[in-house]
Amino acid sequence: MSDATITCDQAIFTSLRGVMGEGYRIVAASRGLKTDEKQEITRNSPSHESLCGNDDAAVQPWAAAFYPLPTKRLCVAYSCLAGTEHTGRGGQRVYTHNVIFSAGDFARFSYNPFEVVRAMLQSGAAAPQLKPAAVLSELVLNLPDGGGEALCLTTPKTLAAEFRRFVLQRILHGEPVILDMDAAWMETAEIVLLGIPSSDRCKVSFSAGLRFATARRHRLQLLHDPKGIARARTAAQPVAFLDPTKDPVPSTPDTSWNRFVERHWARGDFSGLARRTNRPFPPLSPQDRERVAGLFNTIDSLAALSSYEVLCIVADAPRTKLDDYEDQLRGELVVEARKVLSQRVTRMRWSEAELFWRPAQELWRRSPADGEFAWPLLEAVLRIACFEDPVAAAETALDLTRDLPAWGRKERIEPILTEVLHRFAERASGVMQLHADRIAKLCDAWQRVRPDHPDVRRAVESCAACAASRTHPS
Amino acid sequence: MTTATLAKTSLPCLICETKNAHEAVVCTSCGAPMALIQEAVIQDRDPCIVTVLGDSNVGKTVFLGMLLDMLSKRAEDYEAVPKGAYSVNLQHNVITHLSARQFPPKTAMEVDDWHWAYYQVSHRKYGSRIYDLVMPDMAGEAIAAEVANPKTFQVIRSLLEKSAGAILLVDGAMAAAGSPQPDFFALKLMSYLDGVVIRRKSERIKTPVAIVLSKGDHCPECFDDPRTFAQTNLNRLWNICETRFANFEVFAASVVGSLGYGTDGQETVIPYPLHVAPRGILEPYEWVLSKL
Repeated sequence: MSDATITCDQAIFTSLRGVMGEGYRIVAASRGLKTDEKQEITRNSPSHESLCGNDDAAVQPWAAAFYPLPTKRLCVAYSCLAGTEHTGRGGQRVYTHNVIFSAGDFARFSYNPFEVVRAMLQSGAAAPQLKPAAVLSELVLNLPDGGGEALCLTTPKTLAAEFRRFVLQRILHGEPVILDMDAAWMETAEIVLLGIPSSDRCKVSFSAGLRFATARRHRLQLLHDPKGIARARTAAQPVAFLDPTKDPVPSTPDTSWNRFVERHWARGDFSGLARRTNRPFPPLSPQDRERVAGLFNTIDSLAALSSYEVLCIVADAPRTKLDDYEDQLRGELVVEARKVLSQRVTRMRWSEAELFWRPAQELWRRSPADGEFAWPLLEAVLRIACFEDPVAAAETALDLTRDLPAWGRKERIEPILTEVLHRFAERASGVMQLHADRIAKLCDAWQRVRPDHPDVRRAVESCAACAASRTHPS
Repeated sequence: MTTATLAKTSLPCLICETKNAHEAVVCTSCGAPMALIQEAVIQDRDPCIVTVLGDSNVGKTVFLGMLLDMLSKRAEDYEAVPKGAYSVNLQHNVITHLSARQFPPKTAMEVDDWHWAYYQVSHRKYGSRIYDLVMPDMAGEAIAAEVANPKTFQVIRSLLEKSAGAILLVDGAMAAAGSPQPDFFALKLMSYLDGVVIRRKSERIKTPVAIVLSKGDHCPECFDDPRTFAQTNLNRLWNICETRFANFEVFAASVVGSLGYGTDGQETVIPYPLHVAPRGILEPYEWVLSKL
């Protein structure tokens, strides 16, 4: 955990006997808690026998929940068992520690309620207090290390790809879903949450490890329903009840966002997914989401594309000024594409490299930003040509002498032209016999644009000498 | 996988009147069982809701379970027919536990876990009037939360608005021991009821309310004269009832004859009902019926 901290309100909901009453209620809270917040917490908190059991008796059951409060603040609840129920009527006491914070602080918790739970556990705040003071102080929690991206998660084996995609799709559409699983509720909830853009996450209320209750109207509920009670109660209601081990595989539309998230899920790359979905996106419409996912998908597919395709993707990227987050993503795409191309271009043959000279050149001429991206490629292509075919390099480089864009700085262009012309002058005499006309034309062309260049003059002289020797053989 | 949207044929919830799909098992809004309204539709009679109220651990579940069991065993010549197997769950639960010398488990706050009993009740000797009684066993904590902050549990407000009568359980043993808690809780509850039911400020509420001093086995003196007991030990409650309620009566009741105590490893005192000796269970119910 880092040294940075967040101060939150807190409330304890459990069953205690006190001077003002007994049974499940908010037994202690910090002063900042509002009445309607207490009401919502009371409605959502688990009471007697409300934690889902676990087959492993050695593992104490615990549960987590997350929901928005009427004041727009957010509540993260951690529930566990805390001894026997005080009335002696059987069962265990369910103890819930609620942490309440502003939506702004949610960003500092990386938009991840489980970071709050981890911070609570780390600070010891989640340990049951059965004799709390009626008024609690504010709770200070440490922010997660690694910006919430240092995640140690594994995809639950019981949740097949089709099911998790279906769950994600429903949640993104604001439709409630209940997942019946016998374990791994927290991991599944966190994995699903990471597949939701940051801006939407505060709206995705969930409970993990709590039994079904109509009053807890969470968008995502992960529970164990061995007797089928919850399934029966949700019959004919607009909620999807899903048992991944028994129900038929649901179909999910193939969207860019689904593909993007599934790729990370399948690889177990949750840190990578978090890094992308934790960005401070503005509220995204389904169309925005598809565009964003499209960009992520393009970035990830760069390595599998041909160099020409990579270049075309960059060349085709929209030029108009978009929202900041899309600009950033487009910037990332360009950086990644440049990285891919730079790695490849140095290993290319001229026959391959010459294919994208034209698109790269067009890109270079389009805008200063595109010029910045395309110039190193143009240089690399010319160097390959210099090495393999100096005559072709000289022919190609002529393009850089015509209609220079304003950002085509001379001090940048001249060194590579000099290199090209130097190699051309060296090689011209050697290949003169084979390509006399081609070289003569080339010399003429260069003489028109760089008449004083020493290498041009050298090439012209070689050319003239060669022509003379052909006219008057010794 | 089950997914559904509201069907065209919808039924209003008996408690909160939210429209629900015909196949729905519980109301999407308040969580009350839809079997209640389905049964009411079959009977073609408006059911009478009698609500049992009281603080947490006051004995609502045991009282109600015992009452229903006595009715279904034709106590005092009453005939009670459960409408649906779900109605029997409560008495089954209570009697099973008491037979095993245990109190039934705590009722969870979650509405889904409440037991709802729908009985068709009539008296075999007097008259032929049949009452369709709906009696939910609510969690005391939920009642307390709703009283403290109205609209926390909308189902409780809706229930009380629709209630034809109420049975308010007050811990007689605690009151006799001098604790002000039962009196204050009952005062809050009656004040809440006053706010829910009242039509005009000047009018007194006509809804019959039976005040039952529970756990009478701990304070047998409350059986001698429940009214005087209440006037003395639950004076705040008595006063509000006198001022605001036109129909109220005080009763004493107990279910267990004697208790034994044990402790678990964590020093929690566990009461064990050694034998069942119901007393004063039917009287409040009879009185409420007589006022309907």
